[in-house]
Amino acid sequence: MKGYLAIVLHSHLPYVRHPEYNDFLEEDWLYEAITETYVPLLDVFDRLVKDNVDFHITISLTPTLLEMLGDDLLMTRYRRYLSNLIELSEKEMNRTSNDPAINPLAKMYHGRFIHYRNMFENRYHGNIITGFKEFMEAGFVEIVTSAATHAYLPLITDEAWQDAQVHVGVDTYIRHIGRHPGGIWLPENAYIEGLDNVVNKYGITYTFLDAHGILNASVRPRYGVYAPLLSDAGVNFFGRDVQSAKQVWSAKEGYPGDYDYREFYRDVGYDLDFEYVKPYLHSDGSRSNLGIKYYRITGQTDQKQPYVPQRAQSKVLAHAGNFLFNREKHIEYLCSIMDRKPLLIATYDAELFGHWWFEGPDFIEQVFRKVHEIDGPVKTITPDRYLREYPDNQRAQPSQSSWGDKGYHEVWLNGTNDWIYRHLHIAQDRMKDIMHLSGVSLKQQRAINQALRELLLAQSSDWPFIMNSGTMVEYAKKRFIGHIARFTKLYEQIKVNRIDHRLLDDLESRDNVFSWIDYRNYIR
Amino acid sequence: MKSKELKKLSIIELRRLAISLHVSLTRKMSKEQIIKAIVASTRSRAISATLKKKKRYVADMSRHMAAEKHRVPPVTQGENLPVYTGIAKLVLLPRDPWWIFAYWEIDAAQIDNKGLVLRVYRKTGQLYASIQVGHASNWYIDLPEPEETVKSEIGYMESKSRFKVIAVSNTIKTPRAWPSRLTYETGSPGTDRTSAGHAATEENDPFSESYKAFEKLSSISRKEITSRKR
Repeated sequence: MKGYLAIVLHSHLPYVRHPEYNDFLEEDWLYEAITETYVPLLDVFDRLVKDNVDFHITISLTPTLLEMLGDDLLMTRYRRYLSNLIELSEKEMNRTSNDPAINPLAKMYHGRFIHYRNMFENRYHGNIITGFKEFMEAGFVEIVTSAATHAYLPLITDEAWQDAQVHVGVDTYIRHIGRHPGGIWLPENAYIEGLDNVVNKYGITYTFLDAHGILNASVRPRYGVYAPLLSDAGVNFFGRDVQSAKQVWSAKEGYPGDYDYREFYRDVGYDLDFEYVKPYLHSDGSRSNLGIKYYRITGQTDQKQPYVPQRAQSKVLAHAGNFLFNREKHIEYLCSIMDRKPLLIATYDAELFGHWWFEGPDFIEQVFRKVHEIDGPVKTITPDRYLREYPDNQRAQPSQSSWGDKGYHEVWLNGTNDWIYRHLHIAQDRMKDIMHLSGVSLKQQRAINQALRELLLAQSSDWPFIMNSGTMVEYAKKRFIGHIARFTKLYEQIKVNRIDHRLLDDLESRDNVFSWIDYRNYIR
Repeated sequence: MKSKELKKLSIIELRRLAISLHVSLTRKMSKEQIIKAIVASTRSRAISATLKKKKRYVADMSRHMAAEKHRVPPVTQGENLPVYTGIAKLVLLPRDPWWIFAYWEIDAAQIDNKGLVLRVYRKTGQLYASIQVGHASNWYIDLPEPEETVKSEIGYMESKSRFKVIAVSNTIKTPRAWPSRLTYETGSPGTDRTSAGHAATEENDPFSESYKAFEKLSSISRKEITSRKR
């Protein structure tokens, strides 16, 4: 054995929960991710374990995602979502019964949805976090935490609030996972000087950065990104291997663009007769993706051809083989210039696998199977295991960076979103004020806790990210403005001790993330 | 696509449109027939939606799953951003190795309707820039070097020689933009930072060759690894 490959999947969704509506389009982000990414990944792990394939993978489950996966209302709505899909897929099997190309696909979807419902209900009893935990306890999966609401920590500026984000993240992890996190995924891999101190305070020993965060460290890294750096505060920083990233992400050469893979943008929600799909669309009647897609990418054409699972599966095998071959060659080369086992860190957004790239989970499965079968120079590993083998690492301070476009903070700080920071920072100062009030009533305490939830929700990096991306901008703006407005209302009422209990009740039931939070634990 | 709108187009425009929509026409088709063909081909919103979305396919491989969702959700009525009074705040944020962002929140009453001046200082206390920002409330400032430590103050000229400071900012450091000149010194990895690196020329660094290899392996266009992600 010559070197290691650490696959790291970052799973995150912003806290989207709208009990004030019977159904809400943006909640689908979660339901789609469960059906298309999280449960299929658990299914892959199941199959690997059953076939005695040894594998190691790291997965971040962000605090907002954990809170949503553990939320009764959202999981009830998820059941409704999945039943609808199953019903629609049944209708589709009938509708397409005379179409030899499409009918097997309708059956495929139906079979999958039934299987996933079975896993969701009977295996995990409505809480898929249990699934990830089981694989963690069995030593295959390492779950890492993240900041409370995925705040972009460098632009939070106030160390007390960077601290609170990490602290709430650790507490959420402990509540849902049942042990202390060993590692953290810094939102957007965004790093600024001093964060290592914050993270270390909570016993976290490692995190991940984009390649230049390591390469531009205070001292040149002896092994490039192929071994971690240890910061003064005692945190190990693992750098991203851009070659692994490129093969999957690259728009030009990345695997997911293969013509035999499933086309994301041909969905029955748009393709079929409106009256027929209407019962499965949202109540406002606008067309949306329903998750049943019959075509393959085909090529640079609008004449999409039907999806052929066998063709896609043979591409999965080829791509997994190619991916591993390249990692082997890379590791063999690195071995010639390194005096320890090189480590390749391959970080991706989890939702790429399954949601966008339908065959992504199968690709991951085949990579692990091949590593196992070949038993060659590459073994998979998680960072905690690596650190047990190599506890001594080069001392250096990593460089400010992120994995966003251009590598620094611009995605979250430009003309589309820079206006949010004054409101965030003023709210942060005000929150500190009210956290330090003495002799507060029980009702005030409740209001202070709710103000803290509103502030944390406002801090999500998702809002400036979406504002910058140009799609769904209105939703992101409304969310940001809404949380700031609610925070401000509560702040004003707390200051004069005149709490509007109806407002408080309403906000507690709506913005109920971290329902267990007690602000007194986060005073600094 | 509505036939009413299409009727306003000339037959040549209609033919062009048909080509762009991949609607096949015959040479002899009348205007009416062309319109009919276009309408029929775009009746299902799916097709036009696919056409539009196809172009965004690559750019939109995003976890935010956003492309097809255009609905603006109603939220609680009357929620607006607060207006602040009695605050004098100036904040600097780093954007990248060469740019910083400054915003300020200052009561109009405090400045007596005078134009504001933003002063940016480098680590040494040296005044780097004095910017007439007028009545703006934020500014992007470019810096000559990466890894700068900067601080600023905002105020106005009380008289020709007296600068009245209204708010002083936090101190920030911009990111490094390239590898450090300090190279790894052979020795125990645990040595503290002051001795862990020393200024070295590339010639006397035994690892400079492998380092260059590492750099090369990592020197790919950022676009390539971020385009699909978002």
